[in-house]
Amino acid sequence: MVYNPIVSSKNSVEQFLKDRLPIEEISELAEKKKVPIHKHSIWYYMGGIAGILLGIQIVTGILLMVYYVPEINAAHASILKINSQVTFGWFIRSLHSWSANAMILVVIVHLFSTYFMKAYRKPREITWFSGLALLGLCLAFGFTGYLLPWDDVSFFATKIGLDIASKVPLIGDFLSHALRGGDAVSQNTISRFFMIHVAVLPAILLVAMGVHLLMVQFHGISEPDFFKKLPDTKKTYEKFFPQFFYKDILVWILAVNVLIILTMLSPWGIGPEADPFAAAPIGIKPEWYFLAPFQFLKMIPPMVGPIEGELAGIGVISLVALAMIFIPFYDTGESKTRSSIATAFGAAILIGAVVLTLMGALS
Amino acid sequence: MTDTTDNNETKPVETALDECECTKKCSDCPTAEHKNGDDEVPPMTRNDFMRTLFALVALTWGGLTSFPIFMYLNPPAGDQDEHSKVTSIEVCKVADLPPGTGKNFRFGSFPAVLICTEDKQLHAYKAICTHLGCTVQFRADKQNVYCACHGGEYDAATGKNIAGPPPKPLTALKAEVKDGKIIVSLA
Repeated sequence: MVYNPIVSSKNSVEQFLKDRLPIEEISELAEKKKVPIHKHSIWYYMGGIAGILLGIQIVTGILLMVYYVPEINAAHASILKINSQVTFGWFIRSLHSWSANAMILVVIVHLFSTYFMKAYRKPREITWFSGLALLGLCLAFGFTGYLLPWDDVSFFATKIGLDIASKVPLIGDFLSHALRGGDAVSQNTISRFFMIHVAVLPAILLVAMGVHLLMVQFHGISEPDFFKKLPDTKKTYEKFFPQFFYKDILVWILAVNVLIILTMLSPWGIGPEADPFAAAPIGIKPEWYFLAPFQFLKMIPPMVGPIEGELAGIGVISLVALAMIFIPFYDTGESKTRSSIATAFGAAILIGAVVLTLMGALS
Repeated sequence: MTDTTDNNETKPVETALDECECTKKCSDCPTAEHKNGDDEVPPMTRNDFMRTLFALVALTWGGLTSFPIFMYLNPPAGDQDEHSKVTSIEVCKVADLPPGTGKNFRFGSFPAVLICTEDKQLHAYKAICTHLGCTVQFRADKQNVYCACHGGEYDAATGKNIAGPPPKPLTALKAEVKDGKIIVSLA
């Protein structure tokens, strides 16, 4: 037999790792996972797409930090510099913004697809909670990152967001004051939001994502009811590693291509620099993912009975969020009626959010 | 029947149960369900005491260590604007504000709006919407004060909320003319 130095080194490295890490147990766990094949299998790709978009966020975010200056008199200028002077700066920044928006959209689609496939039921409650936490984190990333360019829309979006937070009973004032770093959106706010955006949220995200992926690995991929009821002979699966994983990679390439096309065709701009004492520009709106609550708060009357309108609005939004969190305990899969109510509730929330978003966009 | 001893901390409960079942004398029993009286609290074992003490110490320690962090997050008073001490400001000349127009300006640490209504009366308000704190403006086409964030509207002459979600009127400031200049001061 001919001595092959490459094969020999590979074997030595493999042996070195096998002696020190539980490689066999890990690969056994990975190979155990199988993907059910049915008419709704397409939704299984959403988590992977969100993952690749997160990867783009991390890389482009690190690159943006090379030139971005989190200082009130320099923040806007540094984004202008990235957009207009730094080679490929516009591309990196636009990619960051586009993939952030795409990631939130994909996470929302992922959430509702798992919701309607009833994937939150026992034993996957922790997967559901960690998924909701990840959506919350994505929105927090969006909110904190939005202020950083310090343009007029981002300034007012932050101002309103923190004012809404201050309406939360008991802790609202403390929370908004601590986040704002005082009574007004200022340098303190930029410093805090920057720190939260690049350090605190990523750290929490890593933990939440670790829990989420570990749970998916432990419990395997959820099967919808109609698939579970099929006789074993009619159930078809494919292995996650490598079959589904290869398809995942293809979908990722497709997603990245779409993203790059969007970035090239419509690079992300920047509004005029924020002036804390100027009037809010006419037609100001938040990002699309905050349009539904924005429109809802806009439509609510000043007073709802004895309660201030916005407080009642925040109350309703919180109740919906709480219902989403606790749905696994309500719809456990034992009652058909509860299952139908949960589906109707999810559909109502989805339709309501889409209608409010469209109304907000068109108003 | 015994409580805890130095040498044996886990067995006393078992002993107590046995005694309950055999002797029917439950007055000293440490488990509540075996007592004749329902509201008697079982004595705390040394183990329970140590666990509770540990939890209390951990909570206190946690509280003490997070106190500096909470305080650190409060910006120093020096960071708060010196402008917040402003009580009066010269905005513009009377001639610069024709009837039916308005002007946003900075009043110390907050935004303000000055309006000359069509009857040539001057009105000034804190330009902070009472809904969610956006900065309002005078709109010549509507002849009222408007918040672009959620579409709130206020009467230009009184500051009263007249449309949209604002729950309260704008905070009024005092506007007066001195030597052909408009001076706005805290009301």
